[in-house]
Amino acid sequence: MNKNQVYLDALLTNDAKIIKRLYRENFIKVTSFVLKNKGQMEDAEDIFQKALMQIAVRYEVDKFEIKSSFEAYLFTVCKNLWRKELNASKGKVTEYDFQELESEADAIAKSALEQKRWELFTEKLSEIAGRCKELLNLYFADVSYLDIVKTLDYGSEAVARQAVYKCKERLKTLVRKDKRFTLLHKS
Amino acid sequence: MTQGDHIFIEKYLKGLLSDQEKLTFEERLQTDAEFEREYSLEKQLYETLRVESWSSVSEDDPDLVPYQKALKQKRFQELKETLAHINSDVNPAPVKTRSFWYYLAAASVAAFIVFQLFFNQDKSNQGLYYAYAEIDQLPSFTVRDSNDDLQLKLIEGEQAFDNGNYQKALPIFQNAFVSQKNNRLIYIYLGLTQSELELYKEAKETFDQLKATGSSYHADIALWYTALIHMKQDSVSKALEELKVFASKENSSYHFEALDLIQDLEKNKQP
Repeated sequence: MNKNQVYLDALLTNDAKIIKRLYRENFIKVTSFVLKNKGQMEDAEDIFQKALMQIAVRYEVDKFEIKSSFEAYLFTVCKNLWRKELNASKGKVTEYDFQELESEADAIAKSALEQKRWELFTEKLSEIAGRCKELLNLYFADVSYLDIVKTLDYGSEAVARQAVYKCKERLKTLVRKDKRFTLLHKS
Repeated sequence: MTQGDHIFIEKYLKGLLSDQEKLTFEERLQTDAEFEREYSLEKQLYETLRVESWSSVSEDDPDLVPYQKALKQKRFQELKETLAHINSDVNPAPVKTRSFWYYLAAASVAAFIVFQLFFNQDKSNQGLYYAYAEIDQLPSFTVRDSNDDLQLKLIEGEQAFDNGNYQKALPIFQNAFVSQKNNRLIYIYLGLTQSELELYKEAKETFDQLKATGSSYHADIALWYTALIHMKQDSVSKALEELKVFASKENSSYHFEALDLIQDLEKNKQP
């Protein structure tokens, strides 16, 4: 049994000794990241616990495999959770309040599904190279078409729009071909 | 699907449609299955990959159901409690009373991070000893209704140990060791007190006696601390010899700790 498997099983069997070890090995790194990114100590504690719950429930439902080290994976999950928390706090008050009212279990379920989709979509995005990737990165960063034209030197906004359309189609084709998408999107 | 349809979807996702256009869009979602499928994937992509997004899954997303069902299982409630418990062990300041101690703890973590970032490569064997021995996290002698003399004496020894007053702690644990041979925790406190006072020979003898008590669990503890004491004395090869015993046995209590420590010691060896 490899180390990743040991940690995943420990979460499902509630093995306090191994989970404590997980804390000792990873918590400092996550704390460092959160503190450096506008967070407090209690935010780091919260994110760390949510991340472990999220990984546990995904392992229970999807029996997924962690391709990197467990430590690297846990850190990525924590970073994604913290990025979303930060974005939520920057968002509209009503949206943020709504999120606060949501039950903890629902929030974890959502974050598990979000992480699963994020892994699939970022992997597919990384398979697209060159100008198309650059263009999609600008699109997902909400850069206006006017600025895309200037940055990537397109002739007009209409040309830039057409290029975005084609690149998104490439991305969607890659996503649809992946069997994880079929599993994700049964309905 | 035309490029016009895609522009329509994009504008809807970005909130750029007028009220009337929005209404038309939503009506089409109800009546055009292909358009709805296309919208669903575009929405997932946009909300998942968008740098500024904070939530990409709506309440009624059918893909949520398996996770919601799983989280209702008792094991997840138990896991949540375990995590909260471990968290309070690792970060002992209670949330509501965080004040001076909270900030002190935060400052210590920050200082430790800086230490890890800048000095980890040069951590001495002594530094590794303290990182792995965790002498500040030993179980306590305090139990409910601790009122017999022997128990109170042990608590006094523990407090002296926690305060770093090893000279005071030593005779307390030595006496208790003679009179309470069945209390294995005393072996650990005594051995570590001796180690702190650099009485290494005596410390190893104490752990040898712990090993001889028979249980494989306590034998593992004894071997672990003996290895750490070798390391504290800079006898790295002896420490490695013992650590490799743990590393080769997956079911031993210190298997992973040993693997990590071996790695750290190897790092120290490199120029």
